[in-house]
Parts: sequence; C-alpha cells; structure tokens
Amino acid sequence: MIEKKQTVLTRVKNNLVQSNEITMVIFLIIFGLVVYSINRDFLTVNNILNVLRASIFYFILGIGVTYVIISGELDLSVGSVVAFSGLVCTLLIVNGVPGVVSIILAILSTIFIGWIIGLLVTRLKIPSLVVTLGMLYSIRGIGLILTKGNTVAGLPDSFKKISQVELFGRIPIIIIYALVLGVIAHVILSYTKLGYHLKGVGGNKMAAEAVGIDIKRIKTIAFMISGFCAGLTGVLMASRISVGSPSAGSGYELYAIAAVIIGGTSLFGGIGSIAGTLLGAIFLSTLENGMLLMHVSPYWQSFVVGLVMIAAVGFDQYRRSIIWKVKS
Amino acid sequence: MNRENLESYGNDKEADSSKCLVYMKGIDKWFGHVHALHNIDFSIYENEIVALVGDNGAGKSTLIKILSGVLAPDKGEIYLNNKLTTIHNSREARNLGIGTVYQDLALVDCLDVCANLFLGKEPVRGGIFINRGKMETEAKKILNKLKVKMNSPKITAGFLSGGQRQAIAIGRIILEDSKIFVLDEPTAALGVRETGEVLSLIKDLKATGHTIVIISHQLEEVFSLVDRIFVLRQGEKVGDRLISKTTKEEIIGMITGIVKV
Repeated sequence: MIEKKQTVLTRVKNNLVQSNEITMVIFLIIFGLVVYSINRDFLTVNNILNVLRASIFYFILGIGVTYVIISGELDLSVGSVVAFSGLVCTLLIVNGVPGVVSIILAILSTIFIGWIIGLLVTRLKIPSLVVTLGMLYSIRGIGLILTKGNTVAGLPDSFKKISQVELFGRIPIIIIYALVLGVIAHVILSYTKLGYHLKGVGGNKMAAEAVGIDIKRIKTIAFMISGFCAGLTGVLMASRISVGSPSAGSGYELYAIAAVIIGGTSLFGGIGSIAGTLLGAIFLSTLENGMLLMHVSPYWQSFVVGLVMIAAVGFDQYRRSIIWKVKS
Repeated sequence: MNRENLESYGNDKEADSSKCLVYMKGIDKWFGHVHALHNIDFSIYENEIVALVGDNGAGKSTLIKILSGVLAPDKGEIYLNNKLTTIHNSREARNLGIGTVYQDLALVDCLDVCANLFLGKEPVRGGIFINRGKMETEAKKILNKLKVKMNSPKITAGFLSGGQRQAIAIGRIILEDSKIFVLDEPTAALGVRETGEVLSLIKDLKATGHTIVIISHQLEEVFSLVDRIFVLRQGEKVGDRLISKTTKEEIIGMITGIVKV
C-alpha cells in the first residue's frame, strides 16, 4: 500500500519537474475570468486575436532564448539583433536587392552573430551574460551607425504583405509562421538527439562531457538558433511597421526571457519546453491586455510582470530543490 | 618477505594464464612540483576484480584518470591486449572498452532514467529522431539485469536513491559494451542495504565475464569482493597481492607505511 502511495507522489513530483504548463493554463483561465467579469470586451474574437498577435514576437524570440537557457547560457542580445536584422533586410531592399535575397541575407547575418557569440562563450570562456550584454549595446550601435539614427523607409508593398496578410480574412499570417516554427522547435527539442544533448549539457555539463558530447558545438548551435529567431522576428517586425528602425525590439530581450522563465524553463539549464514558452508569451500579453482593459495604470503593469517573473524563478528554485533533495 | 610474495604472485598469474587486458608500465605523473605517481606498473587481468587501495593522496584517482583518458601520463606506456596504445581523451578510452564510473556518477538529475542510460549514444530512427520505444525497452532490460527495483524508466534521475543511481551509472557502461569497468568508490555514499546491493551487482558482473577495477577505502568490502589488491602509498606501489595470499593487517600496514616493501 505504501509503495503505491509513493508511486503517485513520485509521479506528481515527476510531472511538476518536467513541466508546469498545467499551472500556467489554470492561472490564465482564472485571470481571464477575472478580467472578463470586469470588461466583457476581453473575450471578443478581435481582442483574442490582438492578444495572440502581441504575443507572437515574444514567442518567436522566446524560442531561441529557450534553447540558449536550456543549454545553460543566457542571451541578452536578441532585442538588438531584432533591430539589426530589420535594418539589414530593409537597407538591402531599398538598395535594389530582391526581397527574398534580402530576407535570407538578414537572417544569415543574425545566425552568424549567434555563431560569434557561441565562439566567444565556448572558446574564450567569456560568460554569456557578459558577451550578450556587450552585443546588446554594440549591435544596436552598429544599427545606429548604419542609419545615422534614421529609419529606413520606402519599402515596397510586397514586403509589408509578408506579415500583414490575413488568412481567411481573419487569421494573421504571423500566427501561422509562429505555429510552424513552434512545432519544428518543439520536435527538435523533445524528439531529436540535439534536444536530448541540449538538456544534458544544461543539466550537468560534466556528465555530458564524460559521455563524449561536444559541449562547445551544442552551445554554439543554441546561440545560432537564437540568432535565427531574432533575425526572423526582425524581418517580420520591419514588415509589420513598414520601416527599418534602429530602435526596434528595444527591451524585447527582457520580455523574451520573462516569457521563457514564466513558461517553466529553468534559469539554470536542463529543463524547458517550447509549449511553456508559448504559454509564457501568451501569459505576458494577456496580462498586459487584461490590465489595459481593466484600466490599470501601465506602471502597475511593469510591477506585476516583475513580480510574476520573480515568482516564476522562485518556483523554479523550489522545483530544483525537490529534484536534488530526494536521495534516501 | 614482500619481494617473495610479489614474485610468487607473478608466478601464480603466469600459471593461471589469465589474459592481461591492460598493462600500465612505468607510469609517472607530476602536478607542478607534486610527484603524484612514481614509476607505477599496474596490470589488469581478464575477468578479475582488482582493488586499488591507498590513503588520500596516494594516487589512486590519478592512475584511474590516466587509464580513462582524462589525464595523460608524463612518462610510461599503456598496453591494451599487449598492444602499445595512447589514450588521448575520455571518448577514446570508452571506445577502447574502458568504462569509468566516477564518484559523482555523472548523471543528469533533471533527465529521466532512459535519457541518462543512453546519454550520448541515444538510439535513433532515420538518423535524427530518438527511438524512444527502443530506449525504454532496452532500459527495462538493463534494469532487470541489474536487479534494480524501479517502477518505470521514465522517472527523473534526481528522485532515485543512491543505490539506484549507482546502478544507472553502471548500467550506462554496460550498455556501452565496456570490457573493463572502473568504479571509483562505488559504495562511498551508500547505506548498508544499498552497499550490499551494489556489491552483489559487482559480483554478478564478474560472473558474467566482465573485468572490474574498484577504488575503495572500505577494506571490509574489498576483502569480501575482490581477487587482488594493488596498494598505493604517496604515489608509489607498495603492494600487489592476491586476496588469498594476504591479510587485512598486512594491507593496512602497506597503506599506512608501517610495512615497507
């Protein structure tokens, strides 16, 4: 009898460790109901689409950041890389380079930035916090230098269409992009060797090394994926606002990290999921949207988001302490 | 007295004609000014359980790390199956059939048992996708073979008891088809019951034809388990005895330096 109880307890703990998506969904439902009771507009199709649209960019950025954090590192550069990508893309277009080529080159350039970050972190052993913080400043600086602070305008309609088309007249196409990317990212993370090794490296670097996993390669791949996601986001954002702006994505790195952490990925590596990041991104934009509809001051919004992040990390610590406590 | 013992030991081994799997000859290792290993000759014979004993700082871990490719010797040679071999890194050592379980076990606590057992060598389908079904089947087979009580191979490794974790670490090197199992203090962190389980597991490994090297402080265990004891003291070899030809007192004497070679 006792054994049976322990099995249930272990299984619950097991689930708690691997994912906290259920907690998030419950929280979202409760919060949603609260907002709805104050403002019926919350659950209109229009508003729901607004919330989803707002969460897309945090989600796509968040996918890359999820990979990096699972591998045991941090990436603060993504906001600046978003701007860089948008600028590279739009500058190429207004200088006559075909749209598709411009987009590909922009994204390749951000993957390259990810590779450089990987190099600096894994070979020069500079902490990723420092490298990506430096990139945050210097890459935004490069953008300002290139444009002298001005926006890049005069983009063709075809470029705007990439992000502004709505399928069946209702569903924004960027939601489709995000879903496809999300599914691919999820499959890689949960069902391939790369995903398993990422979690191994982040969970116990020594163990991964002992079994012959190439830590440098895994971490660099994670940074390159983050670069890709930031590059894609930059192109989509530039398309959405129809200009290349050197100040695009300002502060987005923190929202992306917040989405990832709130979504259940552990700040210390080894644990995480794409579904969690999606929920985290939706949670953040729901929070913003809900507080707006409840006429809560924007200052309170910052305060609440900050609190939620701290709570998420606190929960992460608790969860990790469960894992490492049971050693009878 | 001891010289005689060593010679007769050598003769025993020749008469035995047990295959010599590993011969570490004249191994020297320095860490800065510290002479960690002096001219060590250490052999491992097929299907034996040999213990490496000695006090802290004797050089046991260093010798093992040289064998498992983590460290390179400053002087000396390693012969595997009578063939001169250089082991450049731990991956090479594993490929050569030397499977090492370090004291910290090198498990990833936030991953489940399957992921840990197959870490680095996950079975795949179509070249990229993890073959989860095969992982779980093989995992269950290994867990049965190791006689480990576990409800499911999907449990997070961090929730396992010390004995179960030790079994998983050993299971990993079994799965890698290691010829030689090197276990660094396998029972150090375990309670009485679990120690018994791990010791019986090691006996089973020998019975199924494996060769095992154990580093241990626990002489009781060593005497109950191994065929031969190799004693190190301050980087020097002070004794190499068959269990049947020595006593605990003699070994303690060698470890502490009271008995001189």
